Amino acid sequence: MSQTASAEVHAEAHDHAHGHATPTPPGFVPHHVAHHFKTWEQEFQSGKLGFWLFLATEILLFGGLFAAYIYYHGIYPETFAVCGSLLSWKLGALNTCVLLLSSWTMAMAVRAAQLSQRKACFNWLMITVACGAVFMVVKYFEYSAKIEHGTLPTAWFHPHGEEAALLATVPHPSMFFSIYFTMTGIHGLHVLIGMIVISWYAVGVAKGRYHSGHYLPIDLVGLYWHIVDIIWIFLFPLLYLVP
Amino acid sequence: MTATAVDAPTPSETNYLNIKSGFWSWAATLDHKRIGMMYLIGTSLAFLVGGLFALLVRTHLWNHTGALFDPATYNQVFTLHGVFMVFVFIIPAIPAALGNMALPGMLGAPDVALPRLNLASFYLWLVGTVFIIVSLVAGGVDTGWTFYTPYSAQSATPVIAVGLGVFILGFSSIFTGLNFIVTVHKMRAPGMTWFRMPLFVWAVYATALLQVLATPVLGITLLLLVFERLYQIGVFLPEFGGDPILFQHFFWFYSHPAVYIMILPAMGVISEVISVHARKPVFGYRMIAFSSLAIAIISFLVWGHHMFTSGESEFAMMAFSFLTFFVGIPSAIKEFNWVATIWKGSIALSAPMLYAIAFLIIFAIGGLTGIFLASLSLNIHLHDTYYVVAHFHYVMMGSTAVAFFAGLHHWWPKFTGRMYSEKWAKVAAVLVFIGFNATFLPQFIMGSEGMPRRYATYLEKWTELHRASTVGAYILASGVALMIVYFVHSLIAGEKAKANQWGAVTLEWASSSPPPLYNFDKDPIVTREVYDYSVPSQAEGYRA
Amino acid sequence: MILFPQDQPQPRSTLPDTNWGMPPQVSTFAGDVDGLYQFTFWISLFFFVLITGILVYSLFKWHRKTEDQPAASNETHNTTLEVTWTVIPLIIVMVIFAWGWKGSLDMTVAPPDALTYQVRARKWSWSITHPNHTAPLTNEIYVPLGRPVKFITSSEDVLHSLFFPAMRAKRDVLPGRLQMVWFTATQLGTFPFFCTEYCGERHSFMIGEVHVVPPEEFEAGMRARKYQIGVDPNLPAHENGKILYTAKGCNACHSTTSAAVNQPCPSFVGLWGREEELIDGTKVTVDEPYFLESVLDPLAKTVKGYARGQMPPQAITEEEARMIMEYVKTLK
Repeated sequence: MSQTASAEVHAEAHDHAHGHATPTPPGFVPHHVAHHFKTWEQEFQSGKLGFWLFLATEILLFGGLFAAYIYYHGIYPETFAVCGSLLSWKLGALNTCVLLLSSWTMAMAVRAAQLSQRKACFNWLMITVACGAVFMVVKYFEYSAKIEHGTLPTAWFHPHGEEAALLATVPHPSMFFSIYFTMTGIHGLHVLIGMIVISWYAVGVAKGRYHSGHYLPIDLVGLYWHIVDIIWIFLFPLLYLVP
Repeated sequence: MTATAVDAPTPSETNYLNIKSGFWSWAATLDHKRIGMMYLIGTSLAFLVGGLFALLVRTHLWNHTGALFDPATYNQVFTLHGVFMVFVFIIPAIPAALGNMALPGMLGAPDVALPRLNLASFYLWLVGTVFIIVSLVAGGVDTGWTFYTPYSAQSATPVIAVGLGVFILGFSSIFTGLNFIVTVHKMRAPGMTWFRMPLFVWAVYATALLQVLATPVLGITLLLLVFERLYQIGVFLPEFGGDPILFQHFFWFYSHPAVYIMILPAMGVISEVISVHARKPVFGYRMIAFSSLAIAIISFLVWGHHMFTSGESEFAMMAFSFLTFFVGIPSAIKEFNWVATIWKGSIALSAPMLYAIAFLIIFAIGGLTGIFLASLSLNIHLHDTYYVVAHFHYVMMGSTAVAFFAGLHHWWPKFTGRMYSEKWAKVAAVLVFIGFNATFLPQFIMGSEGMPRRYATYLEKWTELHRASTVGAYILASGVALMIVYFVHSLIAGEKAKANQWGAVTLEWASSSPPPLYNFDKDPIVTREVYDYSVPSQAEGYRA
Repeated sequence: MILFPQDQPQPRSTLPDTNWGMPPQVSTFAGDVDGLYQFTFWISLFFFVLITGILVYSLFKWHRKTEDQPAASNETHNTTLEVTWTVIPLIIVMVIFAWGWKGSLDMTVAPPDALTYQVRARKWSWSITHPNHTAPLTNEIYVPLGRPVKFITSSEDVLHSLFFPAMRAKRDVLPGRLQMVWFTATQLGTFPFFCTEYCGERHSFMIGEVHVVPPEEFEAGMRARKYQIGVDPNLPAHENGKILYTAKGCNACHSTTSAAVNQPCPSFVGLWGREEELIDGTKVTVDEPYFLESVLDPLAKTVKGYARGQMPPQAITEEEARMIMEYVKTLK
């Protein structure tokens, strides 16, 4: 506002050498705020905002796939109906339950980290990873059934048996399987990456790096896991049920 | 706003350049200025490579039957020109190179919010570029930078390598944008309110929104193209029931906002340079700030204007044409505001100012020719002709790259600590301006006469215009070559720059040149309005 | 340096370009398009001169003469001025928008009595079947003066775009989807047409001539099926093969004049009887079964050094392929 006042300057030069430590419960590794941040609050908020933006890019990335799905579902509804009926909705539902469960265990892990409960946090994280593994195993069985029946993306599409006769009645059945494998494949890759990252942080939890004074990484990986879960919540009905 | 006390800042003995040395002090640095400097070197090299391809294109077109290559090679050369210039040079050049160096200082912050992500962004850029260079060694791609299907799915050239390269470059761009959004929200110095932020920050902020929200769609589009080549996912291929037009929708949903990823930061640079070198507050500050955001938002809604001849519905054509005219208005407002800033200023004809003036003239032409292309019936005639080529070069090369030069000359003394030869810099600016217009003005005429783009050979009647264009390209290239000479000379033997070389009042000039590691010896507190030249800013500044 | 099977085609234009750097006006909507072009041009020029004029005037008038010279004014904004220069351009561009939109509506809907042409595009030639004709013409179109004609287009491979500069008409040509472009010619003469969507190596060879002829002449030609290249049962097979070589667009890639190897596809010169190595390493001799298979099913075998799928499947009968084979046999 003032046209004449020049800027003031902090009298004391600040110490850039290392940031101060956040309050650390006994037995945990102290966390030092990165030195370009003034406060722990600023560091925490920056990480949170940055990660939400990253999650937005994830949603937009899948958004492109969903757009392709919707476009071709509109053009070839009968193809999607017939091909979708070949997927096992029971296995899909099982996987949905497993992922929902894992979201809950992830939330519990974040809570345990905030409360500095090292052992509980470690256990909840490992249960989450186990749920991810169950998801991947179920996915493996689903994929191998597809490979066996030859209901694959276009380049390897060679259906046989009863399914071949059924698929011959609709236009471009391979399109559905291309989209199915691409969407579930990219999603499965996200689950796998999530499992690796969570395991990595579980090791850190065991070493006492995360506690009430520093639980941001656990919080963020939790957000990631929820987003992966939510994407599946959309994939499951679109691929298994809507047709 | 600004600055530190009335007395000159105590020159630090150490600055970000000399505080550490050795390979790892650069390769593993988390300092935004060093990362920006690495980006600057990298993108400048990419500009030279892309420029070399441009010269090959122009030389080839000296004769109507083609003077250098067979058509297949020509197609690879223009594709590589486009890929290098768009993805490797222009998109990162201003935000990631100049933005990285200047933005935290402008906010009074010691660094960007997420320095590790910043370094990761640079390495992703490097990896993506390596992918593209590998494809070049493997024979080069021939799809054009737009990768239209089904051609790109059939081409015998290494499309997968380039597709993945651009995918990775996209994530580099996302990380830069994400970082800047967080930095602007969370790292502003005390007293640095939103409306005390310099307009470059506003522009980079608007750009960052686009980078974060548009680039993932390009990412998935290129992944689908890669899958198309790996296992015929079929979504873009008619023989498998797909629609090649869907690719264009996906591609332009990113790539139209990408045009603004290129031009918005350029506009930000121009606001800074004009204000400082005309020593006058930017006229209509709020209008410029808001118009940046308006452009960012509307730019998501105009992608269909790249596809007016592809068989869109009449309603879609009308809507996209209408919105396209609409997005032109904020750009026009900016142009008027800049001219009004210069009006009654104290105008120094320094090298950065010459580039900024070149920008104003070129951008006026680039913007006005956009009106022709936005108009539906005219677009049908001009679509995919040299008119379009000339128009987007006026915006991307003539405006963005010239603004990049303006910013480079403006901030060079700050971040290298040395001055360049102002005399030769002015000569180079004039060469670039003349060469650029000589290259692209003839292309407007050829375009309206019907010369299609991406032709390796052409009708004999266009020979003279093509030759004029080629001569212009060499004049432009000589300006750039001169620039390299005096910049290198400046690094070796340039005189020491002042802390505040141009008498600027934004915060990045409030520390020594080059700045210390964390930008400021003392944490700044902002108590003044932005672009307030009414009181002396620095001892080396001017006196009112 | 450059090895083309034929030189760059040079379609003629029998009328000079009009002013304003536009091609001659040869269709009913060309005048409207050019009117909008001129209108926009003058408005743009006015604003360009205004901006540049103020800029240059300022540079002279307020040039910094002493190092510490302050600005002559520190005005930061002027709401009236800013609203004015927002609203006036907005009104102008809305006028241009409405004009362009109206013009485009004419272009997208053909009159019901338009003559219909079938256009098939492929890398890298145009096949145009004229109304009442049974066989196509390559890279040449005949249209009557003053009567609407519409072109129903399709592509056999990648994207192309059919562009008549003199008619201000253009439409992308897509595989798997029919598109339409139409015009009514208003002047006699010959004009070029182009492919304007990048389609690969010989994109710039995919051009031709559109001839606007008097309606009576066109009627007679249409009835006599003059506008097609057809085989003549009285000619020997290799002569018909030569006709089909052009009619079917083989000439877009396969040279008959030079055996040069720097090509996207093999030259026909010296091809017959030669032994070729395929991409899978096996060797074949260019004989009758191999040649016919390669024409009728181009994806079946690919010779080493060439891209698989470079040649799209062709609309051709075995009888026609045999005639072309006889012609190739003569090219030693």
